[in-house]
Amino acid sequence: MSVARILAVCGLAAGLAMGALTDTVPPRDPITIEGYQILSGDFHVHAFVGDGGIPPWMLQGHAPHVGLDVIAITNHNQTLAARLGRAAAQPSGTLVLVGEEITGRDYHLIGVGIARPVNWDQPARGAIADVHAQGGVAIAAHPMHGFDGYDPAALAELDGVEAAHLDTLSPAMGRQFEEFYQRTVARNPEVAAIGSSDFHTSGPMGLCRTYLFVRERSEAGVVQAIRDGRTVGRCESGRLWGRPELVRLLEPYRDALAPPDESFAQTLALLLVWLSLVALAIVGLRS
Amino acid sequence: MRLPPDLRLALSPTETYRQLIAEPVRGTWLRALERPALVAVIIGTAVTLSSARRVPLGLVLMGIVCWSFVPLVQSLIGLVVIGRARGRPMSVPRCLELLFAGHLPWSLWTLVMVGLYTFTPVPIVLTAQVLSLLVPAVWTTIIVSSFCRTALGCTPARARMLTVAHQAMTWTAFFAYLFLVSGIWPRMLAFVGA
Repeated sequence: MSVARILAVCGLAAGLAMGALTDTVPPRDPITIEGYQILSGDFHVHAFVGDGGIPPWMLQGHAPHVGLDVIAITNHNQTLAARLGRAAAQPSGTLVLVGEEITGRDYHLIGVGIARPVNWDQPARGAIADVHAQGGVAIAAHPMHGFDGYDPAALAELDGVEAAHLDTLSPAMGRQFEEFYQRTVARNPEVAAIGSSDFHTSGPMGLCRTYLFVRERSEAGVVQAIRDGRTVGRCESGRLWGRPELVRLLEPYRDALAPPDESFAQTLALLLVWLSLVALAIVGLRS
Repeated sequence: MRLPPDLRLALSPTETYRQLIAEPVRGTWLRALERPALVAVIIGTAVTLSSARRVPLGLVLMGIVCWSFVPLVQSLIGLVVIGRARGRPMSVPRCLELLFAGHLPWSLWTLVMVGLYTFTPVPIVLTAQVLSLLVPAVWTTIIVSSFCRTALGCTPARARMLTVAHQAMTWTAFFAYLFLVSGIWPRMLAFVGA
């Protein structure tokens, strides 16, 4: 074995060991405001056996590391991964909800709290009705141009809108999200403001997130909070979206609720692993 | 300093393949699986790193197991191509090993993308990402063509045909996966006005 090969293998082992040693769940104090528990959620998470990077049965274990209390697994036009994730979830851990990104021709709609896939080949209003018929909530996903095929009646039926999304970091896209959110609020003032990371393979999950004011820490409590519009969305910039009275209540807890920062040691471990993989790819296994 | 064979092969495929097939190596299936296994480790670890930004052993191992379907599909495609070269001078396992020795362009592309996503704040525009696929795609086509000419002992015309077949199967598998998992189908229907 050449020196370069030995260094690459040792670097990979050292990086993985360092990653394991620094892999801690950041401590968080529970927050209660006016009788509501505040939960952090991400309702737009893709998983493997889809276009996500992490297998669904590993997502519950990952969520506390990014400060999330509840996630919905929402692969495109299927609920298989979500059901696998839910089946593997421990009852005492992060809540894992079955969801789907209903991917239609001119809209993407998140259904959360559903049991089976919803037909995508229909107008948005029909898909929203199907989600409601299953007892779930319907959230307009990244409603920028091209994905905003909701007629006025459909807007009025929506339970939530992704107001805070990774794409809102671009000013042009941000304006489109804002315009859609305001248009929906004008028709449906109680609509839930949702923050979602649209997590695929280039994390982090929960970069944009939703704060929920729940009566009880359960799937029913979470779905009800979205249905009632008791949510505030947040993205990387720290801006909060939602009903002004809820945003005001959350303001004092803005820092306490922020996504945890990656530590220097964690970044170093990731860098070491990545460099070792590059070296291994180049030197190969044999001379 | 002598460069590692995978790098030499990526830089000068025909000459390096000639050197490699001249080596007195007995190809075994165990040896043939080493490089696909390394590809699984690279893809599985890189995707886990990029997705989770954590590298606990359990998560990494699960990532490797899940994403090993990529080298598995590549191996099946490779076996089809190798099987079509009847006059090849080497055993099937040795041919598979040499085909996977040309994986560097795709491994590097994956790692560069993961590196950009994970360690830089630069947002990668989808168009740029799609266009960047051209680099490993063209590079790999050149390597596969050299593989067919030298390692499989094909005539230039036969090598061209097998290279086209290899690339066609690879991209068909890629797009089939993309269509299955990413909900592109409804967008395509909307695009064509159906």
